[in-house]
Amino acid sequence: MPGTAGCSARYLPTRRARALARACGATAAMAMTLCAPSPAAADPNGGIVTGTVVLASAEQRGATPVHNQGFVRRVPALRPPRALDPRPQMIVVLEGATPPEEDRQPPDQPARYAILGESFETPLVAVVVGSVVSIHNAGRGAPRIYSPDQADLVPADPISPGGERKTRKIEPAHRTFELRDRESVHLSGRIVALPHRYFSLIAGDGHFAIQGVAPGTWKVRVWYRDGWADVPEETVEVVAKKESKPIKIALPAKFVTRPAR
Amino acid sequence: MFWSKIWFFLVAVVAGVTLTLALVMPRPAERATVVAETKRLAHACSVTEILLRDFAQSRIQLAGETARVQGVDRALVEATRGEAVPAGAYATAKKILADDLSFGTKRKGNDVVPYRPDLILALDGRGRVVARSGKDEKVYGDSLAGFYLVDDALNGYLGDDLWILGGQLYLVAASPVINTTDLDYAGAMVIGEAVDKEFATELADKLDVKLTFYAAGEAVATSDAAQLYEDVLARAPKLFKRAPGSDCRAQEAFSVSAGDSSYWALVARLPGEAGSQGAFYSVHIPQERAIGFSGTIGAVTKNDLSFSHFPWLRVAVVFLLMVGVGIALMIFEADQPLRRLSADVVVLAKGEGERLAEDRHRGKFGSIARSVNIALDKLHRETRAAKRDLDQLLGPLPLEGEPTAGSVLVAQRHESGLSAAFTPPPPPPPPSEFRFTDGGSGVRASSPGPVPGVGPSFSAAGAAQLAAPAVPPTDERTPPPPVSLPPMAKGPAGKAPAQRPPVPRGRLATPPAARGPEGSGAGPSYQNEYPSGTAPSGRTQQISIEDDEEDTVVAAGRGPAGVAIAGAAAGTGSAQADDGAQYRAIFDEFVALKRRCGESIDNLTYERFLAKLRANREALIAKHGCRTVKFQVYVKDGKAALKASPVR
Repeated sequence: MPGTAGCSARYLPTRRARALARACGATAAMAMTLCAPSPAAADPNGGIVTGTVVLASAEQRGATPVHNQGFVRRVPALRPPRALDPRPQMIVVLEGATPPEEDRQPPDQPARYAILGESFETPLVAVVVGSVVSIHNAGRGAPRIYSPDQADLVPADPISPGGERKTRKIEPAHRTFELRDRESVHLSGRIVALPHRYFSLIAGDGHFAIQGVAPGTWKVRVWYRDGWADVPEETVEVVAKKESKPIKIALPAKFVTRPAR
Repeated sequence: MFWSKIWFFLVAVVAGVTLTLALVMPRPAERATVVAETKRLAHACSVTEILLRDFAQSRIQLAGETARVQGVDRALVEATRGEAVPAGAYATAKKILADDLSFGTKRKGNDVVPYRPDLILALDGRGRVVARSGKDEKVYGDSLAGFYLVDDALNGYLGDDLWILGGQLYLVAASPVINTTDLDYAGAMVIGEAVDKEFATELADKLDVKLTFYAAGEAVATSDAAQLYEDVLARAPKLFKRAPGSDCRAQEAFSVSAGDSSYWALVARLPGEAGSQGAFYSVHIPQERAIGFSGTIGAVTKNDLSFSHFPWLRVAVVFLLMVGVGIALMIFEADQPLRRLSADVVVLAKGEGERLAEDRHRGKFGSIARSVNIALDKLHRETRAAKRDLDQLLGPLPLEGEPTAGSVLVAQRHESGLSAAFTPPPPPPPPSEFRFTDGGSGVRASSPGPVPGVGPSFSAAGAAQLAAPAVPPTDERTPPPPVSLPPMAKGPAGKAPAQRPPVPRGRLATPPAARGPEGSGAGPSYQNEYPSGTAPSGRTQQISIEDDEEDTVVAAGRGPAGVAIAGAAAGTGSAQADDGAQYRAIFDEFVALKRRCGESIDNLTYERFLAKLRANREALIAKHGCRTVKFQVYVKDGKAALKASPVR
C-alpha cells in the first residue's frame, strides 16, 4: 500500500533493466529512450533533464526480498549475492511547474508494455493519464492478464504468443494499476498514470533522461511502485533546447512511499 | 427350585452380558483401527514432506555441481552479451549439457540405472534459456526471468521451487553460475524432476501408502488408479485454513470413496509457486471395512483358537462349573424331592401307608403331599358317612374282613331280611378315584388297581348310594357329618396305620356275572320294555351310584348281555299306587331267579322287599334328583342279584 511499507520490503530484482542498459552501450539517456515504453512525442524546443539515481551501499541495502520458498530456504552461493536494487521499479518525474497542454495529452498510439516470457519487460511503466496500454506477449506462454485494482482494465481472455490486448484508458493520475497473470504467480507488472509526459525510467546504471521539458523550474521526484518515494527532492532549472545540469538523486538505504494526493 | 431359578437367572445374565460384549467388542476394535490408520496416514504425510525436502536438498546440491561444470560460465557470459542468445553459445552449452554433465545413478527397482533430471536449463545473465535438456530441448532464447527461483539464482542464491509447466508439476532447483574470470554471476543452472506416475509410485512404495499430486485443479501424478480426485479436490481447499507447512499435523484424515472402496485421505499443501497456485498432495490408504460381529467371527483363524492364544482351559472350567452347579441345584431342588414324593406315593398306592409324609417334602412337593392328604381325608370321611348310611339302609355291615355290598345288592341265601339277602360281591380293589363314566367305556379308575373283586376292601360308595335316602337333597353339597374314624393301626414304624377304613380307590364293583358264564345264555332272558324316554340312551344301565359332592353321574355300562333280567319301574312319585304291580313283578322275577340259582327264599317276603325297594327308590330320587329308579334282577356269581339305577 502506498506510503505504508518500507522500501526494502518492496524492491524487486532489476537485472533485466540493468543488463539492457549495459547492452545498449550508449548514454543513460539513450538507454532510457530505447528501453522505456514509448511516451508522447517530445517537444524539440524543450530542454533535457538528465541525472543519476545513486544507491546506498550493498551492505546497507541488504538482500533481495524472499518472494517464494520451496522445500528449503534459499542459500547464498559461494560469492555474496547481489543486493537489492529498487531502481527498475522507480520512475523519475518532474513536478512543480505547469507543462503545456500538448504535454498533458495522451499519445495517439497506445503505449506498449511487453511480456518477455515470465515477466514484463519492466516491473513498472508510466503513461500519460488517459493513455491506452497495449500489452504484447513476446513469450511462449498464453497468460491471462487481469488487474486486481480494476476488474475490466484488461480483457480476460488469454494472450497467445505474439498477441496483444489493449487496456482501458489509464486514469486517474497518480494511480497504479497492477497487472497479474491468472496462470502464474510471478508474472506481475504495474502501470501508473501521470498527468504529463515529463517522466523517465531509470537505466540499470542509474542514469535517466527526460527530453522536451518545458523551460522552467522543476522539482525532481521519484515514484516507486505505488507512491512517491520519500527521498530528498532535487530542483532543476530547464532551459529550452539545452541539457540541464545532471542531477544526482541519492537513494537512502531504506525509505518509505507516500501516496499521491 | 429357588436357587435353581436364581442360578439360571445368573447364567442368563452372564450369557446376555457375554453376547452383548461379543456384539459390542468389534466397535472399539474398529475405532482403534481407524485411529491407527489415521495416525499412520499422518506419519506417511509427514514423511512424504520430509522426503520431498530431502529430495529438494539433493537437487539443489546437484544444481550447484552442474553450475560448476567447466565451460558453462563462458557460454553463459557469451549469451548474456548478445541481444539474442548466440547460436555459438547455444551449441557450446548444449554440448556441455549432453556430454559433460553426470548425475550419478539411481535405484530403479532392483536395478541401478544412470540418473538424469527430467529438465536441465542453462540460463544467461538475463534469464534467457541458452540451452535446455529434456522437455523442449531444442528451444532456446526464451526468457525465464520472473520465476522467483530464477531471479534468486541470478542474484546469487541456491534454492528450490515447484513449477507448473504445461500442466506438468516440476520439482526444480537452481544454482547461480559464477564466471571464473571476473567472479561475477554469469547465469544460472536449473534442474527439475517431473512429478509423474513413476515419481509418485516410487515415493509411495517407500511409505506403503497411495500418493497423488494435484496441481492447477487436477491430479497430475498418482501412484494409485483409484479415482479419488473429484472428492479430494472438492474438499481440499476447505481444509487449508492454517499456515502452510503444518498440514500433516493440523489436518484430520477424511473419508473418500472410489467405486465400492473407501479410503482415508490426508492432504498437505506443496510449497513454492505451485503451492501458491493450489498444488498439494494427498496420502490415502484403503479403509478397513467395518466387519462387525459376524465379520469378526469370520476373520478368526485357526491360530486364534489354538491353546496358546485362547484360554480353553479357563473357558472349560467356567463352563463345567456353570453346568455342574446347575445340575446340582436341579438334583437338590427337583430330582431328589420328586423322587421322595414318588416313593411315598408308591408306598401309599401299595397300601403300606395311609398318608403322604408332608414333613419330608419341601416347597411345591410338600404342597402336593398336603393336597393329596386332604383329598384322602375327605374321601375317608365320605366313606365313613356312606357306610353309616348303608348301615341305616341295609342294616349293619358284615364284620370287617367279610364281603360287603357295593352297588349291587346280592341276595343272600342264608340270611333273613332284605339286608341279609343282599350279599356283596367280592370286594373290589380300592379305587384311587371315583368317577362315573360312560357305560361304553365302563367304569374306570384313574390308576391301575387290582383286579375288581379281589381288592382287600370293598367299595362302599355304591352302597352309600343305595343307602342315601337318609341324606336330604340339600345335603348334596354339604360335607357329610363327621364320623369317628376307626382306630388306625400303626405301621411298623409306628407312623402309618396298618389297617384303615376301606377307602374306595378303584373302579366300582362291576358285576362280573355280566360277563360270566352264568350270563352267557344259560338262564332265561327277561327283557322289560322301558317306558318311552325312561331308558337312558336305550341301553341297559348298570347301577353304580356314588354320593359325590360335585356331581352324580349315571355310568353307562354294557348291558347284561342277555343274561340279566331287565326290570323297569318307571313313573312319577304320584304313581306310587301303581308301583305295587311293578314291584311285584320284580319280586317275582327276583324270587324266580333265586330259585333258579338254587337259593333259599325262606326269609324273603314281598312286604319287606317292597318296603326296601321303595325306601331305596326314594333315597336315590332324593339324592340324585332323578325322575325314577329302575331296578334290575340279574345273576351275579351264580346268585340272584338286584341293582337300582336312577333314570333321569
